[in-house]
Amino acid sequence: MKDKDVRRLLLSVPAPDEQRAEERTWETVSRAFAEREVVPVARRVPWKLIAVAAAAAAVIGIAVSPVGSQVGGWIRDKVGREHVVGVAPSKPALVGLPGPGRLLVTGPSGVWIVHRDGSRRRVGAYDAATWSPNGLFVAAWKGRNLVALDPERTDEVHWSLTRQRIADTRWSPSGFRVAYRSGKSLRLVVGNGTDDRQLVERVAAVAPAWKLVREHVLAYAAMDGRVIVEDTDSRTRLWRTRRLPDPVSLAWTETGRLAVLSAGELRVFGPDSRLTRIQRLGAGLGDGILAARPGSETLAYSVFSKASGNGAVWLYDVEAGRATLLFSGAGRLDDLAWSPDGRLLLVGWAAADQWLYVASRPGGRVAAVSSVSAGFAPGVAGEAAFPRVDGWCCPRSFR
Amino acid sequence: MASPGRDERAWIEGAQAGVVSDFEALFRLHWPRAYRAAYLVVHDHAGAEDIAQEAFLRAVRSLDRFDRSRPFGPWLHRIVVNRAIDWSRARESRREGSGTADLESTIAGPAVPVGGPHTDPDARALAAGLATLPPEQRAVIVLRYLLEYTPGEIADLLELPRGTVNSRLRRGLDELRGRLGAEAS
Repeated sequence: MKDKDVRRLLLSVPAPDEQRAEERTWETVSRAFAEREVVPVARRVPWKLIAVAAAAAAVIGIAVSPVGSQVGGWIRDKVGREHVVGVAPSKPALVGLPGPGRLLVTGPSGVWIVHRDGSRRRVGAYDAATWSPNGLFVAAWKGRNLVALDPERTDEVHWSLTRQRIADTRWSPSGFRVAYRSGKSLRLVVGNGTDDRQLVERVAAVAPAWKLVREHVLAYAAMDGRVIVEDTDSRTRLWRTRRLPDPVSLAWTETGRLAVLSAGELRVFGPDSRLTRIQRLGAGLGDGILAARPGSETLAYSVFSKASGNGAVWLYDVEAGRATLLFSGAGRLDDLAWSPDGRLLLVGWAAADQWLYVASRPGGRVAAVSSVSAGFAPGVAGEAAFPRVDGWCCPRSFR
Repeated sequence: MASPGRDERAWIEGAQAGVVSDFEALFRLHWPRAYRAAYLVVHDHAGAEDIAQEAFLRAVRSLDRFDRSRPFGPWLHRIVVNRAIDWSRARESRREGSGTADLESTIAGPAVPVGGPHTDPDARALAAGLATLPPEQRAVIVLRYLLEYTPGEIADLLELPRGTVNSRLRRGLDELRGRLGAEAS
């Protein structure tokens, strides 16, 4: 009997239950992986490049001269600001988007639009912003002021409102309505800035969510923990949930399921308002955000554990009722934005000062862009606040 | 021991940075052999699952300290095989009945749904022969012929003199050849 015969026979012996054992083990091991403490890995720069940079700085005066700035650009190109985890860095420096569309980003100096080629336009000194469904307009707000702008001509204000402190503005998929929170109330304005009115006097501090249909159906969180679904044109309350433990984020799927992320659990309600899924997140987890993947019945959600200080991003297949861990790391992972084609999920990782582009297919790679803060804080001395992604324009808005 | 390929190095680096897809790639690559190796030593699929799971959990706990210039497989296999030997010794010392029942029923019994009736008869005979060996001999056979380590590497993994590894291999193979010969005749 030769060695290769022994090997062939050992490989032929059936190992019972192997696949199910693999999945059970992966479930256990991936949870352990999610709960481990990850320290963001410092970038390692090749020593030769450091030597080149030092020499160039010494000889030319890199910080001050035009020539020096060119050399600085060359070094930045070589080193790259884009750090790709798991694959070789493919592009240097400032950050073209790896998928179609445009980003709305709010940093210390206000709201920015990032185009696919990496070019950026500053919209203005606003607290936050949101896209209209086809990206023709941006609604931006600061303090008590809400404005609608053309993203290509941001010096022109199409309309503006002044109300109590404004937050969580959301443009309806039809484009004809805009919902926003003002003080403790929920308000509604027509997309051309007319007919502004109060919809609900007191709501919880949770962003409302428009159903992805032509009609104007809105979900919002009431003060008592219920989530209410309302036809805003007829002012008809369509249905409501029972009281939920501190809802923090709402999202509609493509086929009209409503997902509610609250303390310790994710609940999904069917189009008929029945509760169809509960995903337990574990004690102490929650305080995250939901993002429905365009064109699918898949949700991404982030959770944060105060006990461990770790955040995690999960993908939830609503139809299968199955959650898959996408990424975990030290600190909060608060921003989630799907690319319009649903192929990439942008995750903001403040503790590492990185944006992660996570491929949505199983086993997909993660690309990371580092030094994000500096890119949205021109002229800010010292450490800038980490910017927030307010939207990735624009998925198909309704069925 | 072979140095890790580019993919594996990238996966280890990604896993150390918290990228779950990279960690999953490592897990999916190494699970089949880790589970099979444990199973062929302990002859109990629940025990094999526990052992392989424990090895991967230890990998998670040690990930930050892992030297990514070194291959992941030998590190994992050292844990799996040593744990499988301990598990087998503990079971035998507890005299919990036939230590070969699970494997043999899988290989020979008509009631086993996974591959039983279609299994190569030589594989059945080999597995039955393996089940008669002491766990230390099973371990070196599995390391040598399933996981394809050299005797020197096995000596390192099990912290044994190389001569001991060679003698266990020789005795184990003789036993298996005898078993296969008996099946054939």
